[in-house]
Amino acid sequence: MYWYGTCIKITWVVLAVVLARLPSSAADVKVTVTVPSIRFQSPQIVFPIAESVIVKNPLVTIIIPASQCEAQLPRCLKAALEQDYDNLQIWAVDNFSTDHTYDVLMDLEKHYRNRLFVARLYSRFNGYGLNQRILGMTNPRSLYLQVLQPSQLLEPGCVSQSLAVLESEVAVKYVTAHVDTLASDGTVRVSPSAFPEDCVIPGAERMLDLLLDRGPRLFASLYRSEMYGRGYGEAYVFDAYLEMFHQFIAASMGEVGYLRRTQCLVRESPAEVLPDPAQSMKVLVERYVLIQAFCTIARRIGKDEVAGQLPQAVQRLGAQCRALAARFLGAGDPEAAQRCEFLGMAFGGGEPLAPEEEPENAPARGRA
Amino acid sequence: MAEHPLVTIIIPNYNYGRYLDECLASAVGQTYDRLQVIFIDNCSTDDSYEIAMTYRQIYKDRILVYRNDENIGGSRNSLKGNMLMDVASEYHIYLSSDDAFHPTLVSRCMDIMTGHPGVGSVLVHREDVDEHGVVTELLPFYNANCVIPSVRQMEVFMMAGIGVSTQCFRKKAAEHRGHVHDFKFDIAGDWYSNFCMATEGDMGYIKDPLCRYRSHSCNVTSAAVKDMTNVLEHFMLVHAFSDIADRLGHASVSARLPAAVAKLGSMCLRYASQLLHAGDHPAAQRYLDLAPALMPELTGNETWLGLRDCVRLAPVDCLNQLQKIELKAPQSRLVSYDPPPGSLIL
Repeated sequence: MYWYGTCIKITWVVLAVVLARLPSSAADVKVTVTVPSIRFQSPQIVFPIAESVIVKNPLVTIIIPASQCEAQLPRCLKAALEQDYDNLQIWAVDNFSTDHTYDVLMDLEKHYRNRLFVARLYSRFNGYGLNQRILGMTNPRSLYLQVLQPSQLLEPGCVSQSLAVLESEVAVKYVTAHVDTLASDGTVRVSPSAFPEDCVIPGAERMLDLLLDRGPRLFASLYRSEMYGRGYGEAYVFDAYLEMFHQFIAASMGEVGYLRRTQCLVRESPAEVLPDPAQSMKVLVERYVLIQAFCTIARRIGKDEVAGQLPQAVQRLGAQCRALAARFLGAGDPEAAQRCEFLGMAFGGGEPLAPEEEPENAPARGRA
Repeated sequence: MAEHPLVTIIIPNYNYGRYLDECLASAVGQTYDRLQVIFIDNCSTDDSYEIAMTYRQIYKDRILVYRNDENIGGSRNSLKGNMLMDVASEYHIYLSSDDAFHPTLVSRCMDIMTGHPGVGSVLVHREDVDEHGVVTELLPFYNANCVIPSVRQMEVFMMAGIGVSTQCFRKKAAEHRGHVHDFKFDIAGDWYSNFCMATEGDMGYIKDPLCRYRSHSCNVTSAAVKDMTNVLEHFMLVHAFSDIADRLGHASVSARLPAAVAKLGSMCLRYASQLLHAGDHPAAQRYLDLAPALMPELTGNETWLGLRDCVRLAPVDCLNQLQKIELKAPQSRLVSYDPPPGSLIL
């Protein structure tokens, strides 16, 4: 008996479902089956309509990987914490520092409990591993994401202005803002702006800039969260050029916003002095592999005008190697100079670098 | 007597129908008794799926056959194999669908795995077979069947990859190595993953060629050779190794970094001479420039100077000159190495 009853129930449910699924025109057709209307009425499923899913005040996350930077950190954090946008979370992660970085973070956390979240890693990680770990800690509801280095100082209003662009322009995948340099004596060195006004740059153009290493080198970029980390799906992981790789991938999927007003100051690295020779070899090689990766990706998504610039990009890198070699030679390190010189020759032996080129292409469409 | 543990052989496939009979027969024909074969066809356009299904009909308890509705790419297809594995299976082996196993491969691997609980992976020596079935024997990397302690093997991997075509993994070790997986390598992916496995446990090595590796005439790495990404990716690879070793506190491994970079410099000479044989002089020149960037001492090296002269010669003279140089600098490894100290000889 039990089974018999169940079967009947199932039959009714099936009928109800079938009827509920009939398109409205078909539902007008007279159906001669009577359905007990009270128990088996088709449920009122309310699908979320467009208006109800628009988040009015989206969560923005700023992540700060911090290692050995007790001196720079307080100002960087204060600038981020005092942004006027209210739904903001800042995740600062101490990357196995041996100085007081973690103490500085803990002190600040006491004063900004609703904004600042502090964590600590007990083993040192580099670019990719570090980012992965911080991303894993952050709030998954965050719709926008910015990675900030301890040497960067956000200007007031930076987050809300970048956000305004992302909220109004759907095709813009990330906003990059103009950056000036803060010298060690406290003076600000103004760098020329890439474009005369705030604008939206076509993705392919930004890809070309990144490939040829031209246009603004320093940037403060706010990403849509889903665009950040897309690059990890590729077969490449970069360390020194992590941020650049992210920008390239995001640019390949849409457009890029540019804010002309200075939104961020970057401390001049004390080493306008020479970098460590072994480290600079590593970075130059990574740059070469990065260029190859850019072209592979560009070719795969059909952006041949970008991929076609491969020889020029390698040539430019070669020239950079040789410029660095000259600097090593001047500093009295002939072995490092020789290494860089040969690396430059292997990369196509470009002539010494021409004076910095300005970005050649004006943006295709500008926006006030 | 306790039952043998379950072992999974994962076979991702795309359009290798012509080699599939040999491959599948070798997988289901293993002498090991508790075995599951997972075959995943990545939307092949040939008769791969039909061939696999005929095996499925005969060996219902041994082989599972899956098929993707669209091609999801090689790496995702392999990963899918891993996901489809029986949860009870503690060990897995990947088999490329154009290769084949010796009937005792699984049981030999499992002898090492069950006898030595500290072993995370077992590497098996291979023999090459070309598209027409001609077999080439290769020298094994180590001259004995052995178990190498984890850190010793990491040191070895700093200097050289072991070119095997198959590895047997212990699942526990394979899952755990995720914490060092902060890098990805396009060309040297196997070398990297073997290194990561070595960080998680000792490594077993079988010197008998129990796997037959299919070499194809159209070499996928040739583009990478031309644009130098192979050597430069290796350069990044050894830096990654040193980074991981530092993080794990194995200073003896990271101390080998300068030597490893210098070795890449001498590898450049090999590539240069290969490219000269192929008549690609500009690419050879690039390698000759790259070599001293990695190994400054090379500028006084006879081979390097000789090769530099060759680049400038006309093709015929160049080949003659090359032969004289190559007698002094052999192209490939001529010896099998002794296992490093501390290894257990089996």
